[in-house]
Amino acid sequence: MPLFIDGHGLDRFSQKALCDAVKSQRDKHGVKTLEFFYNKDDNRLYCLLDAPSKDSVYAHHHDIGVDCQFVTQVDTIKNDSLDSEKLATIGQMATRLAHDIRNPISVLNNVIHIIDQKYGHSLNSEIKNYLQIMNTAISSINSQINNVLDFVRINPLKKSNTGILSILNESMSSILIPQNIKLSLPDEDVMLYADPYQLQVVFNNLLTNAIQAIGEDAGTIQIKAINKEDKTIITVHDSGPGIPQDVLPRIFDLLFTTKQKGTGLGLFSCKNIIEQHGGTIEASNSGGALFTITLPKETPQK
Amino acid sequence: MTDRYLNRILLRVIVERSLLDVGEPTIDILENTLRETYGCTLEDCYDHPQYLKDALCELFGRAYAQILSSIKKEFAKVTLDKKLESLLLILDR
Repeated sequence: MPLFIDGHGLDRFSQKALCDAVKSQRDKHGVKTLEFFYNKDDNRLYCLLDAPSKDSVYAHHHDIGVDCQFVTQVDTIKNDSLDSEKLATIGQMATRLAHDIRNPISVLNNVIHIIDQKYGHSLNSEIKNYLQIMNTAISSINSQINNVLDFVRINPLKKSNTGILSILNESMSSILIPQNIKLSLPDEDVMLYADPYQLQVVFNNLLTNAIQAIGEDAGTIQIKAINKEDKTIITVHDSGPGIPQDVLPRIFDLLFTTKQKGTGLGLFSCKNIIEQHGGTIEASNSGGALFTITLPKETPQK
Repeated sequence: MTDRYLNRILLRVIVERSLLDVGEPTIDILENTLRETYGCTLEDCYDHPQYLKDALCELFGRAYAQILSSIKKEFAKVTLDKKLESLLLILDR
């Protein structure tokens, strides 16, 4: 709603009455008082209001028996540089937090692994189940930490000739594919001139999202890769419920997430990485979510 | 919990995990060697990485390279302080 400033005499208003006005809900004209300013030299009260129109502001004052001396519509001037400074600070804090959490999480992860390796054969199923729960929780924290670190890491691409299958295999080695999900990889290897680590980050995100979308039902994730004349097209297609239509246009936006524990960084990082490679990534629905990555064919520079 | 305390523990669990992963469930032997030869614990190797390298080489000989590879893989997942960076350089030398 637009913002308005009006001015009128202080009249009979006490400080308490003004405070109550700021705390109160919108009136029947849709007007909400946001703040008051007082100039003692001319004994005038200036009000900042959120209201549908100038008339509604006059009506609001008329109801409380005050005549406005003026009403004018104003706009907020956003200080973008301040916002970017704040964002940069938040980014630094998030990075530091992510780094700080990594080591204690790694201790927990290694201890669970040691318990499982050393004593797994003698543990009863209940304890094994608890260990599995802890493992899943740790994986979830790790995934969020990696999302933050992948997002802030601004590394120049280190391209090399690499096969899509080796990139996918590396990605899958850090993801637990549940037994209810059948994952199929491209039939044939397709060679890319790309940064394998960065593409692993992309597939990590897409596979993790697909697994979460399918949930506990039986499902499939199909990854295909084909070479066209001047480009390579890679698709990741899951059998989950798909992406709601209202969410699709915003799915690659920074900090946009529909998950309770999502960071809103994963798909944004995917888009950044693919665009760094000169490619595109698109999301659509086709009996489940379908992500299509198009990478230009490149030859190594000599 | 201080970073130093945490990183000493991290070193311990990563070495133990790496030994298990390469089929050497022999953390006790490593700890005995460190205690008897250098009068230190596995956690103390955070400050004395050469002791760890010497003990691992002495005990596991050719398998050292495989153990080192596993240790490096696990340390690649964490945030390294200067001591841990230096420890990896010494183990790798």
